[in-house]
Amino acid sequence: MIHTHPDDISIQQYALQKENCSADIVGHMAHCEDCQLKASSYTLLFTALKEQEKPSFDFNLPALVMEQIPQTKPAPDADNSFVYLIVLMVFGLLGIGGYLFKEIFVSSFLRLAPILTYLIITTVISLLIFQGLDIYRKYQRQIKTLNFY
Amino acid sequence: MNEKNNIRLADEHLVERILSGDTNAFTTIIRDTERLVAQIVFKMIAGNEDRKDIAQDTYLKAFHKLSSFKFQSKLSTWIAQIAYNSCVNFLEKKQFVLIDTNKQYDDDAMDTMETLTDSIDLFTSDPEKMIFQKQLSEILATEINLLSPIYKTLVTLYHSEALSYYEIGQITNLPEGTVKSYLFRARKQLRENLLRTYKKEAL
Repeated sequence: MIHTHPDDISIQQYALQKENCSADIVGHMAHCEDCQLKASSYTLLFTALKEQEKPSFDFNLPALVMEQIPQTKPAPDADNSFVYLIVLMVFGLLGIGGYLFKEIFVSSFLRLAPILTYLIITTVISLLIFQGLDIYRKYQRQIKTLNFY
Repeated sequence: MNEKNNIRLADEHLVERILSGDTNAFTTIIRDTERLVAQIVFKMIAGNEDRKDIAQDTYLKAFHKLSSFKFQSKLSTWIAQIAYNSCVNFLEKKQFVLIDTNKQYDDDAMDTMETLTDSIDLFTSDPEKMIFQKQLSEILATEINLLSPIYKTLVTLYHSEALSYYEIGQITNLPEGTVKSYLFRARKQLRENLLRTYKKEAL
């Protein structure tokens, strides 16, 4: 049996699970009124904690959540098909226009000074790079938001 | 072990149903875990509107991340973890102190303690005992609310929800040792505050 009072952690442990405490502590507790008193106050506290009223939401959580969740597996919808159709039409028109007016395009391009051609190419490439970087940053932000929890 | 396997099988079955398009099965998950989420949200967040937002947000995040759930814990533990993290993020944004580890505790409460523990023995009749316990429960509820949000949550998850240190560690992302240490401090603080309040009320 130990003669010094066990620390608060040991007393809590005793109040929680007497059987897991060392024989020294159990021996001390059997004879020390102060420690017994402390342990009983913890036992009282633990019982009261267990019996605390459990909170509940005062609204219908399942209904609230379910109305924000798509009810079936997402499938390609009509809006997307419409977008694909528009893109296809634009490319088709560009293709037809390019084919019909290809000589005019080629000749006007050849008439440009080489320096101007390089300038146009550099500008277009720079714009594409910036656009690409912007899309990448936006993608990273979205992924970060999704991993937020 | 068998119970663990059964829980895992039930979780897998539910998740599979949802991922294959039966989103209504998610209602079962909400109903099964709502109480645990409420315990966390009520202990960490004070305002009703904020609680409502966080509870909804928790389940929406859970739904959208369901395919990434790897069954390394119970589904309820995973959802509780999302709820806890949402609360912590909310409190951090509002710059709340999540835990106050600098509080000093007063060990000189023996007299009050004696009165308190004796009170139950004194009340021999059941109605008196019930009244005392009701009073104690009311004081306790107030005292729990005065604890820092993390202490409140840990105490509730351990004592009210009977979760293990390991499960609480999974929910709060804290090592098991830290969970134990915080719980000891929280109980000590709670006991001392309770004795102080009881003494005041008894006077």
